[in-house]
Amino acid sequence: MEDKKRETFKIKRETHQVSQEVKDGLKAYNKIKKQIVEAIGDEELTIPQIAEKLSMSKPETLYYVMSLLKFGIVQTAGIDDMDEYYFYKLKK
Amino acid sequence: MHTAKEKLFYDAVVVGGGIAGVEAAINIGNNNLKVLLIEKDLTLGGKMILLSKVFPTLDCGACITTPKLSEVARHPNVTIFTYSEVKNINKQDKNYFKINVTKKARYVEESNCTGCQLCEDACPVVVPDQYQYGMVGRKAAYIPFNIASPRIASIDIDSCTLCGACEKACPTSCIDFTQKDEDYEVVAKTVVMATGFELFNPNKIPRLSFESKNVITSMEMERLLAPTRPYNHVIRPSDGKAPDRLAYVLCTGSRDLTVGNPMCSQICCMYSIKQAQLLMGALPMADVTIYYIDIRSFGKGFEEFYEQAKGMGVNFVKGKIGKITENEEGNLILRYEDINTGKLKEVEHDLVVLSVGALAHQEPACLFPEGEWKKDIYNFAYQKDLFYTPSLSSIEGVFLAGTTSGPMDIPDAILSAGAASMEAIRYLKQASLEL
Repeated sequence: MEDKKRETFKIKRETHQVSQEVKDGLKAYNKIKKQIVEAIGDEELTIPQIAEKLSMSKPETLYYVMSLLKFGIVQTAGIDDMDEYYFYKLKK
Repeated sequence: MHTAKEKLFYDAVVVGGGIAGVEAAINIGNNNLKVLLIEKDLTLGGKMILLSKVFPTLDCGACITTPKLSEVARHPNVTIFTYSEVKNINKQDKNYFKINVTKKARYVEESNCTGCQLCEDACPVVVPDQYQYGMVGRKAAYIPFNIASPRIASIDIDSCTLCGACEKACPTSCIDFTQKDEDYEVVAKTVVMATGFELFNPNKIPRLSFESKNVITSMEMERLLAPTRPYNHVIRPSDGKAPDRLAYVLCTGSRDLTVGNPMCSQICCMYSIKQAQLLMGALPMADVTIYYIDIRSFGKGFEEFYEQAKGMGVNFVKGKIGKITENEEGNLILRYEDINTGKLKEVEHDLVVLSVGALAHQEPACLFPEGEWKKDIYNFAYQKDLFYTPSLSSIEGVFLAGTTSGPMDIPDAILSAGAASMEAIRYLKQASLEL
């Protein structure tokens, strides 16, 4: 009974079509997550520095870094000398 | 997909699970009357639960809201439907209302979910979090926020890839993708409308450049200041910089005939002053300027609160903003008329907060048969007798709680809910209704 219940997603697949937008969104997130994790793997970086390294816009970089911070993958690592930008590093 | 319609009977139905609706449901329930509280969102608490602190006491908003939510959740006379939509409300005869309600599928068995968030951890999909105004992501399997009530997960089926990770991770096997929307026909003797208000959309004033990432609404700033905030600190959405020159633009969408709202929203001055004080704490080196037409500090302790903000160093400028433009660094140039001197001035800020006004919710009018739900000239609910019985609507047996009838602050919304529930109880007792 329990095994059957744990596969209700398969039943839903029969009637619910996952949109291409959702599939593309998942791919994009995984790619960006990997890039961010690699970028701050060895050094602490600010949002503009990560954005430059990833050739991504700063608002988009902030969105993904803050999402990873929320999910416990990234953590804050102090602020720069001008008290303007926070550094971010991987949570280990 | 819907399941067959089920019929339910209650003494009262409260539409809207914000602070006013919750207060009204508790009051009616305390009088041994059976109440159904219907909320369209995944959680009770409305806008209040999203606030950082409240004015003028600077008490924690969540700390005031959550005990009330806890009280209503375990009240023996109150049944709660969250994530449920009222389709229509029809008065059948003098004695009762028929209310059609759809309880949307969460794809989670509410009674079994422990709120452990393991489904959230397992979910691979990230989409903008609507409770954080899109400033950060959330999973497709998610709990709205830590203090959500009920603290139950939900699957955003439109964003779900049906990978099954959440279902495999759930220790209580409560994820159920076979769930369907459930339709109910509720029969009740009275209805309390506590549908709240809507916030003004600043895109309606293009000259304020709301499309700029560093121009945000006051509700977004509430989230930035709240303990359950989207970022690690108060930083700019454009680049993560800690701002040091912040501006508030009061009366955005209020007292403005050009956008069709001549009314003062009553709360914007004080919530802006509150946020300015909180910012002085969060960003001690920052300059905070409030551009205003008039400061309306009319309530108990409000004038003292305003003076306190001035004493803390908040800069108040009597000026009307003409235009906001963004420069290459993402900073904002505010062009304004200094009302005291009559001169045009330009000032640079690195974050601008638009203090958006409160507008009437469009929902109530759509729920009743055409013409029954009357509105006032500002589109809020028509009050039959503003001075003697402000809770009475245009429909006998339907009562008004909170900002359904006009903008008001939290204490007034709770008072209004008290009055509405008292009127509903009196109506029930006087009529001695029999279903």
